[in-house]
Amino acid sequence: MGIVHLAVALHRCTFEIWDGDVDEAEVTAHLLRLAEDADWPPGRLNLVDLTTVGRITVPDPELVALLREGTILEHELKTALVVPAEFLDGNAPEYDESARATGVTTFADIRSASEHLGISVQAALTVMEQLRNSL
Amino acid sequence: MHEHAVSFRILGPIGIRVGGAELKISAPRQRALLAQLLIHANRTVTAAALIDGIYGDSPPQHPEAALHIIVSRLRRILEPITTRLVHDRRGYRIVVEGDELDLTRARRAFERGMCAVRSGDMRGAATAFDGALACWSGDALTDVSDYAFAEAYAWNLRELQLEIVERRNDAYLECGRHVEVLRDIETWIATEPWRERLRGQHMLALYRSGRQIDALDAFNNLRNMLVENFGVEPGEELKELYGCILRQEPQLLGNLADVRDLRRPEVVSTALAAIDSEVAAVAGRLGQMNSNEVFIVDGGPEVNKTWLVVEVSGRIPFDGEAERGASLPRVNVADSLHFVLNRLANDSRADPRRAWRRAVS
Repeated sequence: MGIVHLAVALHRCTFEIWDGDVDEAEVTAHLLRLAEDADWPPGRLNLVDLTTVGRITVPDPELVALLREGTILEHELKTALVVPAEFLDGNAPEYDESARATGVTTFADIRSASEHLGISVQAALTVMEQLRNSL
Repeated sequence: MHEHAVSFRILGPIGIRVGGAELKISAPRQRALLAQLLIHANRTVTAAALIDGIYGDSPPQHPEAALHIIVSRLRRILEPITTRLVHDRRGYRIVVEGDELDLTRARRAFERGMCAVRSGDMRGAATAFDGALACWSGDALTDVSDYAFAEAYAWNLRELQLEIVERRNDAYLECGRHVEVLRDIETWIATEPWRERLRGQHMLALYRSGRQIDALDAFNNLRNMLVENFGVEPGEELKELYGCILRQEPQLLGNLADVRDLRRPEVVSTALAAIDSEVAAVAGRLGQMNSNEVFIVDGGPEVNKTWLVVEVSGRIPFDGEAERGASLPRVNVADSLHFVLNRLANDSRADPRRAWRRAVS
């Protein structure tokens, strides 16, 4: 359980998996790992798999802002979230609306998400499998 | 040891150059962190002080994590010299060697200038002070001025700069280089109108440039501004200088350099280059004139009439004029031209030809 990521310059995309219950400490630790990753950010794309996440803590906006400051992500960001199906069946319209307002689009599967980002589906599936095996 | 030359800047926008290449630090808080470390170069700054300097009264929810992120991102940018950013048990420091920091170079040049002053070498002092001022690339800490830590340090660095400016002006005046430094003094007065030492230097430079009326006007303008804005009179030193100018006391001329010194290449301002063709034209015409003819140089203020006259005086073959039997008085013609034409310039309402006749009579 926890958060894992991989910055892939070839696809200009950061791939992430959030798994299980993710508390504030783990979220903060994830942000610090991003800060120390010499390859991050690889570009403006983000593909995040939340399909197996439990309870999560929203990242501190100040820490996220510090991460993005001075990078391409400060002004250009395109994020695809892969979420559990119940988020997409109209039961959480306010989530869907706020996600769109922040440049984030939600999808039910990795295939749709990677097509939205313009990334090879096979490449995305391979990276995500690699990350999930590292959890 | 580093293979490439490294330089750090805080006397202007914050910056680092490695091997001639500028390291791009676009994130404001990374610049703020770097600025704090450079201000305390080679000394450890605690994490708490760094956080306080960046966030002031509004610390983030996770201050240690915030600092960690800023340091990590800055360390990425410092990739060529990442070992210079050191983390020890007390906090962080940046390692600066020798004269890599512009502030260090400025202070050392200032000290050399002061040594020269104490030994009476005013030319050496002027050169050293100029070198110190050249270390500034703008207002110190200008791009981090919004941060809590910056105000006090920026003020101190500004005061240092002004101290050096005034010392430099004194050295120039002692060397007789009043014409050369006059424009720069006026530029500084525009941004620091209440510094009376600058005002006094301005008055002295004007007087020594043959602009007695302007020197007196400078005092009166300041006095009016002080009275209107603050209800106070100028200080005693300035009043005393005013009185000396009114009485045309000889000691005001100090070590006025021979006019020929003003034609040294290093003295000529860049503005003079623009009027070189005019100098050639005037000198050529004067060389053809009879002794009873007059050449008038006319123009508004700040158009380098004085420079034109001085330059021309070095090119006219006056020995040739004497051989043709012209009854020229045995005077320093450059000084005469300088004095008379400045009287013309100061009497802007007058018809130039009438003013000339009045000036030479």
